[in-house]
Amino acid sequence: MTTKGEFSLRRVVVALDAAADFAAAIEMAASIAIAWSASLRALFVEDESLWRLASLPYAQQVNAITALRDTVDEAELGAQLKLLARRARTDLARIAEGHSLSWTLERFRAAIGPDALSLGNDELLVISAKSRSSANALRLGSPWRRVLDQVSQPFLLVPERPTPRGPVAVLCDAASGGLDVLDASARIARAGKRPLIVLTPEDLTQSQLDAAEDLVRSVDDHATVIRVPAGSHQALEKVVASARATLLVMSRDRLVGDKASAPDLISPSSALLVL
Amino acid sequence: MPELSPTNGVLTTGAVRLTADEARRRFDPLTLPFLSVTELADLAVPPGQEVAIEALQFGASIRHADYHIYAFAPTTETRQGFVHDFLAQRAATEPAPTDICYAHNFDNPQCPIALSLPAGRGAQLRDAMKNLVQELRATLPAAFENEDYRTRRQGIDERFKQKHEEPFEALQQRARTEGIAIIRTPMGIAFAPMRDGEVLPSPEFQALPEAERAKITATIEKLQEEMERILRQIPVWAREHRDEIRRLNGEIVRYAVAHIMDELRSSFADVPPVTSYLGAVEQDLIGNADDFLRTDVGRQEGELGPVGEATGADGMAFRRYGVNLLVDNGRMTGAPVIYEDNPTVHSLIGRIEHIARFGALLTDFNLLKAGALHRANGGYLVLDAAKLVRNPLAYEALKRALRAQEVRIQSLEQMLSLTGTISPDAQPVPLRVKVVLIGPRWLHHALAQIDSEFSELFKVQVDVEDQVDRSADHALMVARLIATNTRRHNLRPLTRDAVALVLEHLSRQCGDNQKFTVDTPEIVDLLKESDHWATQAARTAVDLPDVQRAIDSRQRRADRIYRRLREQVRNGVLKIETQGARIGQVNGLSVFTVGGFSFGHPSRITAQVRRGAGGVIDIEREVELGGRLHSKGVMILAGFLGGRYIQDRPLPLQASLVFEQSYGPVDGDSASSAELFALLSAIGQLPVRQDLAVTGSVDQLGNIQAIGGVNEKIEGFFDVCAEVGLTGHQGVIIPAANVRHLILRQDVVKAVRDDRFAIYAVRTVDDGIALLTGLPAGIPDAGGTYPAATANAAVAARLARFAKKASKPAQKRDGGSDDDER
Repeated sequence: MTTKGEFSLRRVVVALDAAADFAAAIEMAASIAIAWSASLRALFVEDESLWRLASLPYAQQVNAITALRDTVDEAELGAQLKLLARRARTDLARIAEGHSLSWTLERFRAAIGPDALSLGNDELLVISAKSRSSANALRLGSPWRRVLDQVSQPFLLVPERPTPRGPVAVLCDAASGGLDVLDASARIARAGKRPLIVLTPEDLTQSQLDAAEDLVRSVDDHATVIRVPAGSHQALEKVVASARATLLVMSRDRLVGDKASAPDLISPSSALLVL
Repeated sequence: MPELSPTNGVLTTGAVRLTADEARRRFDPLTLPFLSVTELADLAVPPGQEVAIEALQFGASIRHADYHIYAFAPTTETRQGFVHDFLAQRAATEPAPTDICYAHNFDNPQCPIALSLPAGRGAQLRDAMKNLVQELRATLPAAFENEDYRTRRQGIDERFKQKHEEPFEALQQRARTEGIAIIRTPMGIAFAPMRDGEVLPSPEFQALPEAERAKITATIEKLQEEMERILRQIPVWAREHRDEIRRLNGEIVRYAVAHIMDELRSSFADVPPVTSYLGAVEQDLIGNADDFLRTDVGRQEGELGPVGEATGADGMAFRRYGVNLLVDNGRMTGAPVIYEDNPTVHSLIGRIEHIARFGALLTDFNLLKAGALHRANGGYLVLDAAKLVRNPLAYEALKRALRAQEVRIQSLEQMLSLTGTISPDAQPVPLRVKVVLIGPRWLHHALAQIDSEFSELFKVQVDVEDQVDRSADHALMVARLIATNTRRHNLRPLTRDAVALVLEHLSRQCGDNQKFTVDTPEIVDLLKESDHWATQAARTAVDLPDVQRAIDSRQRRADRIYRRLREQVRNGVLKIETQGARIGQVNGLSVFTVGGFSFGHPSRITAQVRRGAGGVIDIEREVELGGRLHSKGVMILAGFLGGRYIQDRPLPLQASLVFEQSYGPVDGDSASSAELFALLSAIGQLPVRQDLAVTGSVDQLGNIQAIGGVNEKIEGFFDVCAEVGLTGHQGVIIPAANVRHLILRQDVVKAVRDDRFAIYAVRTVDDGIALLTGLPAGIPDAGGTYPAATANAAVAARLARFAKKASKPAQKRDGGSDDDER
């Protein structure tokens, strides 16, 4: 049955790199950290593969904007990475200004993977789903996406065009969702003065449904409850879109397939928080 | 003192003493065929306006664009009076003009289009377009929420997603097969050799055999080429994707709006420009359906969206579907008659308003505002000519519109090419208006002289007659005019006696007892004031005392300076003698106008003479206080003296004339007779009566001519005499030609009747000098010699002595024998 409790969050970790467009990710990570009074740790990882590429003779890249080729060298790469890291720092400082947000930015060289994150308990991983520049059109996403099925911590996938307002939708059921998911969603909704929409799968039994509704009333009297087809990402996506929800919250065990497919759940303006 | 004939009043001098009846030509109330104006029918047009009416009818009916009207009339005629009434009556019989709207020009957004619709249809179109937007805002999102649309849209998205992904996935697959990693760099995408899932470090790559390195390099080269091709295709696919979505949206919108637009087109089928406009609206809706699918939170209805923002619930996107109803004639029952009180450029041609937003001033066709020309289009525009020319550029703007027969709304900056900011270049509205300028004659003449365009545009002169002959018919018509205005202004009716006094007052107002003024505003003002005093007296009708009180109190309110002057005479500050006799001193009379109130006041005119050859010196002129007409009058005196007394030699005289205690400009020739009498008195050493004042101009032959303001002048001297005490001998000498202008105050008339004050009418200088000196003027014999003991003889003798001395060489410089000749 339902696990009564509260979703706790000590630190938000936002994973940054040269390939992802991180401004929106930083903003959302900061807003969650502020809502939970958690600290924010930004990791700007200089992908080892990039440095290896730059060290190769005659290394070239196809410019994503011009579709023309140019050379890649270590000096140029270093300068660009430094610039991106500085931009991340500026964004963090700007957002933190006026809030009691404790934040750090670490810049280091490593292979992108779970080891680079060294996530602890009560930490939330935030990554961007959007690639930099027009490489985005190729749906490459962030390189961090591949670590999603390797970490056990909750994560937030920030969409291409995040919207800080709009309803928060939560996929909830009494059997497995637990109070944590619902409580976290209600907390995010309250912090942003956003409506809460609770999506209950159709495969719930009546008693489970009653229990789920009791849970909903315990966190938000005004929440809207909508039943959704069970087990279909496509159906879920439609419901989220028609409700104009800009954040979908769900428990890890409600994910269908591996976590790398999670971005398919979200529209360009809807974020996904998996707890 | 000369004795007057007690029977006929004719002096031996030829001067005529006027009777009380002549001093004020009374209007006998018994000649009026009514007891109260309530019995009289309305009279729309004052009497005597036959010519003006004919001109107005001509000007209003001639349908040529360059026959506008200039009416010589008081400014108040613009709002009340017969010109206004005539235009209002005529306009009421004419059809209401079309409504004027401005709408978005979908082909050229900077040039809003002007639409003319039958009266009342403009508001319909405006409301219909407003409803259309509201309807579409409700129906279009629903159409796009439709499952069918969503499925089709998803299909398109999926297809293009695959189009994007497939080549890249194929490339990824190929790279993987070839052992090449795809790496995202900060600026793009790169390829590198891979081993065990990691990019091969450079030393290991360098350690590879040459052939293998070459093969890897060649493979990477091919992959890069393929990547280049894919990236170049991305914008093309994106555009194709957008186009396909737009086509789909257009299809949905076309279906959703078709029935609404069909209804609209059907409603306005009789107005082809509107149906054409609606066609453009439909095309635009189809092409820009996205605007209806987005919402901007927090924007107020009608608020302007930021420039460049193509979306927004009530922003720029929807404003373009609005209709700016510039002129709504839906409630008009005839053609408009518009009076513009403040004829500035923009109040005439309209203006472009702006809204401040984010520090910028923004505008569009919805902010175009009508000017008086728009509102009067199809009817009449009445303007105060003086105000028009006083407002910078307004006159030019009006002429430009009349010449072009269209009115174009432009900002002042556009008109003067002062700035290059983007403003709507609104399509001009065809203009069919009759402009009526109302102003003084002098302004008409000035404009006609300095501006040739004026005469080309304002070809019809309407000369509003301000006075008519004092006949019984006209008196009755003026009485009807009074009756009309009491009813129009909700005033108490006048009794017959009150009307008679008003008529006398109207004669006084035009300064002629043979005429009435028909200045309607003046009549209305008097009626209102009389009504006020009747109210104070708790009378149900305005009676004679009320009218008299209105006249008196009006003067009382304005005569402060006049009273001060009389006070100064009484205190001796201003020296005016009203008794006795003086040599070289005559009481002249002047008229002052202060704040619209005119009053007469005496001035001492003095003359000094001596032998010399300087002629007559006008001291006022020497100190530049004398005007040209006054100087002319003084020069005439020299002509008279030479012509009458010294014909065969130069005038052996140096004389000076001055208005004593006069410190302001002096003009006009009405004092020239008084100046001449002072001069003759000084030359002939003849004492002149100080209990008489003189007014009248004189010609070189000695004829006394009419002057203006005779009533005020007589009353001015009467008041001064009354201030120091009437003796029964005091009076005023006036030109005989001015007798017809007399309509004096009641108290003056009473004094004349009681022989406490006299008014003498004279025709010649001889009439006057005899009256003033008590000596006969004297008629010269065949040899030109005047009889002894006459005024002329004394003058001639003195001048002869001057002449004789002048012909002798100066023998003694220190003697006293010449003193008596000075």
